[in-house]
Amino acid sequence: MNHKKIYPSYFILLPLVLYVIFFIVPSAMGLALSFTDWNAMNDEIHFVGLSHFKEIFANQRYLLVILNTIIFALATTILKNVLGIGMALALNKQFKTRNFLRTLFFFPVMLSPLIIGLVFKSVYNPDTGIVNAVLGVLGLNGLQHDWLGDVNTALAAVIIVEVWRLVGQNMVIYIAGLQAISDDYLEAADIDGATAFQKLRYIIIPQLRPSITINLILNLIAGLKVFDLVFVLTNGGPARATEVLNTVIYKEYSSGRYGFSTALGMIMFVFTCIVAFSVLRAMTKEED
Amino acid sequence: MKTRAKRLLACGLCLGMVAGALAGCGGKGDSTEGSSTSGDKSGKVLTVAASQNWIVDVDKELAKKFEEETGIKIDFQLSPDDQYQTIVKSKLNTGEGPDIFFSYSGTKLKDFNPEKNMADLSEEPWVAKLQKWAIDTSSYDGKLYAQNTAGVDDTNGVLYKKSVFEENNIKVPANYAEFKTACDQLQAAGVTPVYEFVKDLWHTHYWMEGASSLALANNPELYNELNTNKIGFADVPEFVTALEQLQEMEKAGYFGENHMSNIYDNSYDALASGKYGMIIIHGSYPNEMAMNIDGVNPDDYGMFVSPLVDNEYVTLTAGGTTKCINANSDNVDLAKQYFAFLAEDENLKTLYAEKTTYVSSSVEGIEASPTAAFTELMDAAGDKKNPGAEASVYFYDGGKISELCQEMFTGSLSPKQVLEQYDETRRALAKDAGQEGF
Repeated sequence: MNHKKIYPSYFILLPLVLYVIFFIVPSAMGLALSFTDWNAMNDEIHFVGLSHFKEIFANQRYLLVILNTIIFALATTILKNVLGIGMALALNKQFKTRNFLRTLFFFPVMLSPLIIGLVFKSVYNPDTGIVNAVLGVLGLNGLQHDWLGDVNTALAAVIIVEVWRLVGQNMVIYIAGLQAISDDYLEAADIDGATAFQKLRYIIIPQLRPSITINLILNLIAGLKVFDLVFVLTNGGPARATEVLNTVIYKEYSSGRYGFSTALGMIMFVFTCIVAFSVLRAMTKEED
Repeated sequence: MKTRAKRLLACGLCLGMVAGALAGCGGKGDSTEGSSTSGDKSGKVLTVAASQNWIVDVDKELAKKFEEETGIKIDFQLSPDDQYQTIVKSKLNTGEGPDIFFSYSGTKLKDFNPEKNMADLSEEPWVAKLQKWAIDTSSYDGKLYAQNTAGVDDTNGVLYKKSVFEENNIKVPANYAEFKTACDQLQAAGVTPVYEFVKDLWHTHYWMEGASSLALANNPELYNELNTNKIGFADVPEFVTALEQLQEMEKAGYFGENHMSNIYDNSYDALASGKYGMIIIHGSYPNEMAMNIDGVNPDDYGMFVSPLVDNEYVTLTAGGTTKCINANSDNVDLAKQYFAFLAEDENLKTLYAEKTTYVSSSVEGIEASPTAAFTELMDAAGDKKNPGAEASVYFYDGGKISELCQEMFTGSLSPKQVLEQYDETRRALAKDAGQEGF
């Protein structure tokens, strides 16, 4: 027995109780309810087995929603990380407005996604929005577009807003990672005549691996769980082009089909766990 | 012993924290505290959920007057039009519903599960003042579940500006072919023929629903057959044709370029400015325009029945929006007090005088403000009036149909597939609800 522990074992009791009450019990209940026809219109609950899951996986419309969610998660994760690293590298140098720019780029992180959604609804407005106005001023009238109303551009338009919103958070994590890299490595590389790209490829990126891991996981989870931004900007439209798992769960739940929406929620939960653990495993394996 | 005492203290603190954390899960805060039937009511708050366009200044003025008289504050919780129903249903389903919420009348009451979520108002004193239609359309299974003291026995029709039609020698359409001709003439004159706002999901299905009274005239058992699952919407030829013609209109460019992003709030200006020629909308709309746009004269507008499927019938709604009390609220008695206040003659007169969107009165002795367009529409239709599907078919979800119409416009669904897909959704919902026949 280890008698040198700073805290006694029963200190784990409180977090464990809270974890069980607020996570394990609701999750287990959710799993159980996803096999029932629980709904708002009928007080009786019947066991329906896997019928909800069969309905979801047999219906192309729900598969499209899963595909949209994956596209959204992957695209936002890649863009936020690539831009985040670029901005972190740029803002890790010494110059006068460095702190101001860091604050500026981090600012959207502090805003509510709902507020951002409302603002960007106006920004993208085909008649009065600033995007089309700027294109008009630049003489690019041919590019003016109904960005959120066209099935071909709506998802991309939402992805851009999400990237704009959270790229600052990625930047901050990368800046912290960059500051942890010892100057000795970079000085040694300079002496050996390494180019900037070689330093990035062989020193900075490998040293940033823990930051990359955490950013990848956080962004993938956030991407798979996206709701508020899509809800405000497009509500899943037009023609379901931006429909994601959480907006469907919300719509099914509010229509009163609790059991069915819980089944969708379970799929999302399992899906998110698989993706997050796979990424974590792959990244930590490489770190080892 | 000292260690044991520390352990006990630690355990006690742990339990205290858990109890404290769980305590937050109970209760509903100040707004719903305590008995509501007696004692000092100052500081009490009644939450009222409504779609953003349903509450105007006079509603807020009356709420303020009620607060001055009783000390009970009315907190309006407004949601965007296309999200209202979803938000309130979610809140009710999670036990976090408002004290009072608005619903469409007729069979639409069923969407909010009246037996579970609505307080029975059958015995309230103000019921005696109501017109019979206002009681019937706010009742379900013989119980009155909503207050319609400011009802809108309204209908939808196609609104147009008379001067625009006259300037361009356009004949008021009496069938689909004439309607297309009118659209072509408007297009040739540089006017976008129809303002359609596809983004707000509550609207696009009007084009299909407009044909429902004709469908009922052709088959008097239509709604019974739909409500007992003998047929689906896809089996009704009038609905299929209406959607085919709607698709044709969209393809012909009658809705302009930005119809997928258009919203209701911009419709007043779109019509008043002459940029757009027509809109399918409720009969009180010209008065609503006048309230929102300076210089608009409601009498400048006319209306004709939805011409799709060569329809000649007016489709009646069940009575517009109506107010319900959340049966699970702790403030049912306070909410009833608010309803009684709103039903007082003086307050009703104030409401009807300022809210000119009410085209007919639901209360004996109170005058409404029917628009010229509405009167013209009803007179022209004569006896050809029938209740619409939205007010008569269980689990009718116009938002869902409108959403599927978006997919029809983008080419991913055919008109028939829209209805088949909708039938699938509706049947699943009705089956879950234990509706007989599903």
